[in-house]
Amino acid sequence: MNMQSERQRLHALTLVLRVLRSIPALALAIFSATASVSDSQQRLQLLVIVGLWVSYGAVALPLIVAHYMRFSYRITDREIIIRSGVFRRRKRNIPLERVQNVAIERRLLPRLFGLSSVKLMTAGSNEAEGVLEYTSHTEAQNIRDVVRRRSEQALPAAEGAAAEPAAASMAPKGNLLVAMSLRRVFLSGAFRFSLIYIAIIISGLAYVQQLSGISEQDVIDWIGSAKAEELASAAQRVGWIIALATILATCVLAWVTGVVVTITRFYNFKLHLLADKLIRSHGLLTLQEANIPLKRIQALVLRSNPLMRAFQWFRLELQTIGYDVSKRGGRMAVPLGRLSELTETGAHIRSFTLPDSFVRVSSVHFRRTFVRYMLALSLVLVPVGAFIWNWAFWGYVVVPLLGCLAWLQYRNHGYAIGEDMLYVRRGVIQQYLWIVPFERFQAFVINGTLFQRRLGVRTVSVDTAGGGYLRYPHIVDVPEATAHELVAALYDGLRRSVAP
Amino acid sequence: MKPLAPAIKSVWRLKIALFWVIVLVIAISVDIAGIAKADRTLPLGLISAVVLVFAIANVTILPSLRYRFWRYDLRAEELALTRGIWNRVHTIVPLRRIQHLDVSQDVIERNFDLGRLVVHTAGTQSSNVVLPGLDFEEAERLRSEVKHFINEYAV
Repeated sequence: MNMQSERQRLHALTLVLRVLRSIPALALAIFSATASVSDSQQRLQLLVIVGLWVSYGAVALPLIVAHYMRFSYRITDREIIIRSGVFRRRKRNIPLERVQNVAIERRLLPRLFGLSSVKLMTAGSNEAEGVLEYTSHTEAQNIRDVVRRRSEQALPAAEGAAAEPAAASMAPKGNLLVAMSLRRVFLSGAFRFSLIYIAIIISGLAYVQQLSGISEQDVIDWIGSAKAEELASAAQRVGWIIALATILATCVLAWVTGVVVTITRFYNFKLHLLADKLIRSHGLLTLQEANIPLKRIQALVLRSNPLMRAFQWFRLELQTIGYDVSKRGGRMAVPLGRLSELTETGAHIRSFTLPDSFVRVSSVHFRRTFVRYMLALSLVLVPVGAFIWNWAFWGYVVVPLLGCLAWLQYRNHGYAIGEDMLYVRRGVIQQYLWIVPFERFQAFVINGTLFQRRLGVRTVSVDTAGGGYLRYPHIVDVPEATAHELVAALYDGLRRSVAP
Repeated sequence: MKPLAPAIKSVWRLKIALFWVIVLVIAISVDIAGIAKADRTLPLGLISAVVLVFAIANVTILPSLRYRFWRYDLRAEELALTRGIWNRVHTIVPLRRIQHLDVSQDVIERNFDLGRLVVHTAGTQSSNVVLPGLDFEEAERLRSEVKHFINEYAV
């Protein structure tokens, strides 16, 4: 096959897109400029607007063009060379064999123009090392194939992929592991109730109110003051109903937002296995495609919450290194699936069998968890009760509830050592099951706080690469002797798994 | 398991003292600023006195306590560390997991001819494990020993 050796520009429509993208910023600048000037100074206002337009035309537009003209890339059979920069020129060489991941992203607007952006990620960094924004979609797929072929030269399987011209769909070739129906994606959104959305909605509403400049008085004027007073007094009478309704409405809104966000992100979710890479593609408005080399996967994590568990649903995530960890959903392998399906999918990634039973930690864990909950509760209730509002002490009626929660924490926490893996289960509201192959262990830590030492228990943790985004697979509150035995057994497992 | 070089106590003492001197200076200046004020809620010099007591306690007690609980051992295949007054932490780093390692010393440590061994792994929480308070020669010896192991293992 012929390698491109001449320098390439980005697709010409990139110019149009960049101009389009700069318009909101201009509009915002004009809007804020006019808003800050009072109506009486109309001439000044006009001057500001004209000035903004002129500077936009004289500076921003030429910059966009210059940036486009200066940007070029070249793919040789060994590396990708990207030249860029208007004021400070830069030439970046990325050896193809070092590229770990080629991600193709298609946001809605570029998609309408038939464009894609290509992101090249290498092992060394967590961010994209080379970004081509934008190329035609065919070109994007070409680049992806060239890079992919480079790293799989030994494997003849890639021949077929090269011969077939890139189709309109994003779906890459390979062994299809997971394909989620719309119903599944909807369900995964429905089960993922997140409080974050509530916070976003509330702060969003406050922002809209501020931006639009509508005050309570405006609303009263609009309804009519007599009616408004009537409404207000009625509201006071049934205040708690209104409060409840508000909470309920916010919850429903948050839930709907969660569903919509999930569907937009994971629509048409597909996971392929091609040679030694996972290829994941999904998205409704923004299409995303990413490669995850199997050898970079450090651990598998099965996650669920009580609602999902009630309906026997789980989701599978991956702990990887050298991957865009900051991106939400960056570690997703299967957003929602039955346990049997996930085990089957997981077997292609790293074969594992879930243990029949978990070893429980010491019952001291229940006591310590409960004490910690009580301390946290008192930290809130005591100052509030003593200085602000005496009734706050009634908050202690939730103590039995905390007891139940602590008990569940204890019952749900456990570990198991398989043939070549460690399994750690933890959490009630957010339940995690870590599956860590022995060969991925980096270090072992036994930690004993003052209280733990007095109670004769320790926390055992194994360190793995690429963690930190998810919680850590600590085994909390195991008896001291067991802790040392556990570390010895795990270390032995590591030794066996890396033995030549 | 071996203890650290006793000289590390002096290093720690100096570093802790330096920290507390800064805090003390701040406390004294707060007290001085309070002289002019008529409506003082706290008696003059109380903040400085409290800080001074804390400073003396920390400088005298902390280094020897820390020293007492620090232990290390370079075994055939792993580096083991134990440390911590309240939180007793026991770390085992398999030598084959070490990515690279440094020996370093700062100005204070240089005066006492001490060095520290810093071991880097690919892990997340223990991505760099620090073993302070080694005689500089001992630190270099440990480094070459670990390096030797890594080179052997790589072959």
